[in-house]
This record gives sequence, structure tokens and C-alpha cells, in this order.
Amino acid sequence: MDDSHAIWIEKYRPQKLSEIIGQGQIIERLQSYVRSGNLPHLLFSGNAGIGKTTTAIALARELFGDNWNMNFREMNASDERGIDVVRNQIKQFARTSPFGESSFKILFLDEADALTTDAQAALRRTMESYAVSCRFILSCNYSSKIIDPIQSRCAIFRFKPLVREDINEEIMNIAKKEGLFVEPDAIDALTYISQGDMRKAINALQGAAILGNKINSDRIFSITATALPGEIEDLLNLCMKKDFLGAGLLLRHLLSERGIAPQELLFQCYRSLVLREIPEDLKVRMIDHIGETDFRLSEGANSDIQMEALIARFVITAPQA
Amino acid sequence: MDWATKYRPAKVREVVGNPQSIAVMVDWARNWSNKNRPLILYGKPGTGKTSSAYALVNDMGWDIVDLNASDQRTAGIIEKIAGEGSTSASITGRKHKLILLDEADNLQGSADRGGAKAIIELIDGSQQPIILIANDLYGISADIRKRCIPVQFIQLQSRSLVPHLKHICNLESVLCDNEALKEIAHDSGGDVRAAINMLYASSIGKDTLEPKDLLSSEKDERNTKFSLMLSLFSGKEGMNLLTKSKSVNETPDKIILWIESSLNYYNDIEIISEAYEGLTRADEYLGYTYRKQYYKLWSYAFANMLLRVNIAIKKSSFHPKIVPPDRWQKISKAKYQKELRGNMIGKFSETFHMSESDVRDEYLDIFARLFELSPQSFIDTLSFSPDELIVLLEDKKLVSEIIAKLPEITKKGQYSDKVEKKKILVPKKTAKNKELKVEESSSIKDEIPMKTEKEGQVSLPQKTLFDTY
Repeated sequence: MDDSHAIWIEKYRPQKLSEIIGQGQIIERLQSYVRSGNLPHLLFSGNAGIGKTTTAIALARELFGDNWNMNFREMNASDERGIDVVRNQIKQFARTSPFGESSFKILFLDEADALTTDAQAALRRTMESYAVSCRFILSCNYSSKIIDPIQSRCAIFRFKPLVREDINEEIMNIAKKEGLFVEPDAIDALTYISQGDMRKAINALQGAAILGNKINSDRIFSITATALPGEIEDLLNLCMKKDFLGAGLLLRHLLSERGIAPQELLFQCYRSLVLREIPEDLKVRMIDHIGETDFRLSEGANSDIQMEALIARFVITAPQA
Repeated sequence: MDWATKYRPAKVREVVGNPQSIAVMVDWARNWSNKNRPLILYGKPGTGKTSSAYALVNDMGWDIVDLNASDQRTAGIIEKIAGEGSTSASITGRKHKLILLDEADNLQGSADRGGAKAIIELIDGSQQPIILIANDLYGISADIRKRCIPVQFIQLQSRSLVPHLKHICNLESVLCDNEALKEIAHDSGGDVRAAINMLYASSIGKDTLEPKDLLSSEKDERNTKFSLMLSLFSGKEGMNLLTKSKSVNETPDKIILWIESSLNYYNDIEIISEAYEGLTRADEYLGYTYRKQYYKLWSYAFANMLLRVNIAIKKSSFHPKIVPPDRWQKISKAKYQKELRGNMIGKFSETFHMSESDVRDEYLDIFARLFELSPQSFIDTLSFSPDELIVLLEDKKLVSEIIAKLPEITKKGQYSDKVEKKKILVPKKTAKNKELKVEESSSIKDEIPMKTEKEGQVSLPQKTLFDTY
């Protein structure tokens, strides 16, 4: 692939453990596993886009060297969640001997919390029986969705959510290599839209960079089909002032002209409400209206009708001035 | 080799904790005859169930066949093992072979009554000692359970875990700070394997271990969950609760149970009912989430359960205890009742050739009345257990009266012998053909104690015991 069209999330995926951002303590520990050439079963838990997969691959690279590919297998459990995958594919991989000089290989099971309980139960003995030739790295969003017997067999690493400084560090690093001028408000925008998900942030940066090498927050918001935080404030303010017509106009502008997805808009309203300084009972009622709308949309309801109805409920719920 | 495997006890006396349970096992093994009932070892993960079974086999000089959930446990495979055992052992006087059914509670996850039958058949027909292992005793069907002796394994106190960890450190020449060991023991929550794994994971590539080297795992979680509850019921924090809820590594369906159990300490009915308004609304969102696998809805569940409860309890200055949900106990009780009911309806459905829903919706009342008229004939045909009768008749006293009137022999076995035999013979016929196929491709041999790899590959199109449908 021509380098100028490479997907940045792959191009800038850290190759070494030392390049991974925001997970200091975890990386330190893993590096010491590399030095000793030994590895327990691992369980990585944390949100999306904070480096779980990247860390697993980098770890395999450093343990196995050039042939890491031969001794590393990545499986996504959300594709095949049943017990058969454990009894067949996983066992198949686990019991064959490792390639080359390595004494074991690694099976990386992404989204392991998607495995059914039965499949997880079948996995626990497989992990033990083949521990000599195969180490498991399980990744999940919530470790509580992994059954206890498996947790008991793993060293659990909780990946920290990434903060603004982490996003800043990586974005500035990429900007330097790609010759971009990134303004500080763009970092704020990236932090806002990504919610600590590095993959989202880098994707948005690449999207914005297509339009030019000067990156500011407007550029980021326009490319990601996200409303500006100010626009959300305006919308909520109009509702609070019981201005149904004004709020309706802004809503239609955001939905049809700006092309913002209704559920994205709901999520932004939710986040803004969480931080908004209004009485708690009012706040929870407003959030509940959003939730109801979100649910109805997920059931396939008409988004225009539901969103307008939401605005109407907001206006009704808002206290008299 | 990881330490949990390396330091797995080879002898029964090396097993850490649960001395009484171990004593029961040793006693059972020493006096074993084919009249003995199998054992069910049950308890939380990492309490030494599987290790004790293996150590016991070592001490006794027995062979072992290990059937766990990672293998297909088809009726054919199980029959073959049971069959081999019953012929070879008694005639040639060779040593015993322990049949170990690990993860036996994962076998009953489904309504697969055929699977339960194969195990029952194994138990009834085997001339060899059998041990079943499970985390949840009630995850094993009543029909199997009543044929076995349950032996509970409980979690270790952290202070009795520390010396064991210290011992391992000495053997591995890791210089270990006592505080660090205490912390590991505490974090493991009495799970020996988890503790050893934590120790191992923290000390790979090191020759000293201090508290700061420990992997932060369980402890963090407990703290944040607890502090979320504390801030909720302090009645002070409002908005921070939602932010906090994001950093708790716990799903809202668990948090809601914690909230509920603390809520029970309030006396003011207005506060309680208002708080429950929030909980029920949150519960709706949880329901939607699972139906649609649309996890975004969790935010709204959190908002409802945290904020609305917070608003409600602010009206009082009372601070309730923060306690873990007692719901689990209730759930397992309810699970048992549900299972009894299911079994009973299943028996009617099988005997009278009608669907389970027909039995449930239209015939159960009639059957119950007919039963009262002639209990003996019903018990002969349907082999009910006393507990199942209580569910059917909804009258404990009546059931005990009925049982008192029954002939002694029926009471003991809970079902009559001739029915028992009929039930066993049926699956055997169908399983015979499959058995041949297994013999060709499987590699179960007397000499190989662990289940060997090949059997996983045997892909017979028959139902496996450990699958759900």
C-alpha cells in the first residue's frame, strides 16, 4: 500500500511495549516477563481503544522476535462465541507445538467477555492442560463478565482509561511525522469525541488531515459528524427556556444539514446533561427521556419523530421560569 | 511451568485447607467398594477440589480418567469408560480407576435430560469410584445429586494462605516481603490458585517482592465498588456518582443488587418506594440492554439507580450498612425450586406424551388431584422425589403423610427399581452404535490417566453432555 494512504491506526500502532502510551505500570511488568522469557496467562480488561490488542501484539513481538507471527494467534470471540470454538479451534491451536526456539505460543482471545458461559467453562481446563505449550491472553471490557474460575487462572491487568495528556502525546507525535499543525483546541476536540479511545482519536485526526494540514477543533468536529459542544449547550438551553420552536429548528439543522446521527446526538446530550448544573431530580428525568428515546431508536423507531418528541419532553419537563 | 501447576499437591496431606473434607475423601477411598456412592466435591474456584482428587488418586495408587468440559463428553465416551471399568476391575482384580467428572455443573446448563441420564447410568452401572466436581452444587440435577455424597470445599482464610505462599517463595528463592504476601492472600479472596498465580505473575523476572511490585487487581475493584456505595448512601454526592460509576469495574446489573441490599436497612416507606422507582426504571434499561446487546443503555440504568436513589435517601440522615447482595442465596434457592418443577413437569411430559407447556398450563392441577387419589401408582410410574412432590402438591404436610403410608422399600429409593431399569436401558441401545465409532477414533486407554488430546477431535454428531441447546 502506498504509504500516503496507509491507515494511521495501523501505521502508528506501537510496535514495542515501550512505545505504548498511558499504561506505565502494566508495560513495566510485561517487560520483565519478556526479560525472563516467561509468561503467565493474562487477562486484559478495559475500554476500547486503550491499547489491549496493541500490547498483546507488541508483547508477542518482543518475546518471539521475527517469527512472532508463527506463534501468535488472534481470535475474536465475538465472532464465534459458542463452546465448539473452544473445543475445536482453540484446542487445535493450543496443543500443537510452538514454532522455532520458543517454548510456548500465545493465543490472544479478543472480546473474551462475549464467550458464552459454557464456552468459558470449557476454556478453563484447556488453559491448564496446554499451559506448557500455549499461554492465553484474554481481553475484555468488563472483567466481571469473565467467570471466576478463569479469572483465578490469569494475572489480571486493568488498563487505565486514556486522559487528555495521553491523547496529546500520541497526536503530537503523529502530527510531527505527518507534517501537521495541530492547535491545542483540536486536542480538546479529539479528547471530547474520542472519550479516551485512541483509535477513534487517530482516525478523526487522519480524516481531518485529508482536508489540509492545519488542524483545529472545527475541522475535527466537522469530519466526525459530531455536534460542537456549544451547539449541544444551545439545544439544551432552548429546551430549558421552554422554546420548543427554536429547539426544533436547531435539532433539524443538526440532524439533516449537519448529518449528525441521532444516537450520537443523544449521547452528546447525555454527556452534557451529566455535567450540567441543574437540580438532580430534573437532571435524572431529562437523562431518562434520552434513555427512552435511545431505546426506541435501537428498536428501529423513526428517528425524526422520536427526536422531536424528545425535545417536546425536554420542554415539558423544564421548570417554569 | 507456572507455579500453580508446579506446586499442585502430589499427596493428600500437601493439600492446603479443608482438612475435614479431605478426611471424608480419604475415608471414602480407603473403604471403597462398588456399593459406595460417588462424591460430589463442590465449592468456589481455587479451593482445592481437583487437586485433592488427583492427590487422592496418587495416594491410593489408583488410575484416573478425567472428563472435563473442555472435551466432548458424549454418552458414547462415557459409556465406554463405565463399561471398561465394570468388566476389567472386578474380574482381574486390577487397581481401581477413578472416574473424575470435572466441571459437572456445566453439564446441566441445558434441558438435556438425555445427558443427565448418561451420567446417572454411569453412576448406577459403574464398578469404579466416581468423583464429580462442581462450583455450584445446585447446578447438578437433583437426580444425580441424590445418588452422591456432597463434600464442601470452602475458601481459605488469608492468614492460613500466607505460610503456603511463603513456602513457595522459599523454594523459588524469591525474597518476599511479608506485607506483600499478606496483600496477595487478602486480594485472592481465599482462592489458592489465584493467590499463587498472583504471586507468580508478580515475581517473574524478580528475586525480591515488595508490596509496590504487586499487580493491582482485585483490590482496586473492591475499593471502588465500595466507595461508590458509600458516596451513594452518604447522600452528599450527586453528580459525581455518574462519573464514579464509570471507573468501577462492575456492571450495573451487579451494582443494582448492592444498592437493593443496602436499601433494605431503611424504615421509611416513602424513601424506600421512591428509591425503588429508580431501581425499577434502571432494571428496565438492564432488560433492554440484554435483549438488544446494546450496552449504551447501561448509562441510563446507572443514572436511574444512582441518582434517583440518591435523591430519595437524602430525605433521611440515616446511613445504612453497605453489604454484599444477599440475592445470590435467594437465587440459588429459587434455582433449585425451578429445577424441581422442571424435572417434575418433564416426567409428566415424557410419560404422557405431551409437551411440557401443555402439562404446565392445562394438566398440572388435574395430575395433582389424581395423585392424591392414588399416590403409589404415580410414584411407581414417575419416580418422584419427596421435594418434587412438595412442588406438585404445594403441601408439605400432605406429602409427608403420603410418604409415611408408602411401603418401606419405595421410600428409601425414592423410586421403584423396575422403573429405574427401564429408564437406563433406553439410551443404551442408541448409544451402542456410537460406541463403536468412538473406539476407532478415540484414544482412551487404561494407562493414560489424563484425557488425551485426540478425543477432542472425535466429532460425532451426537449430543454432548456439556452443551447447551
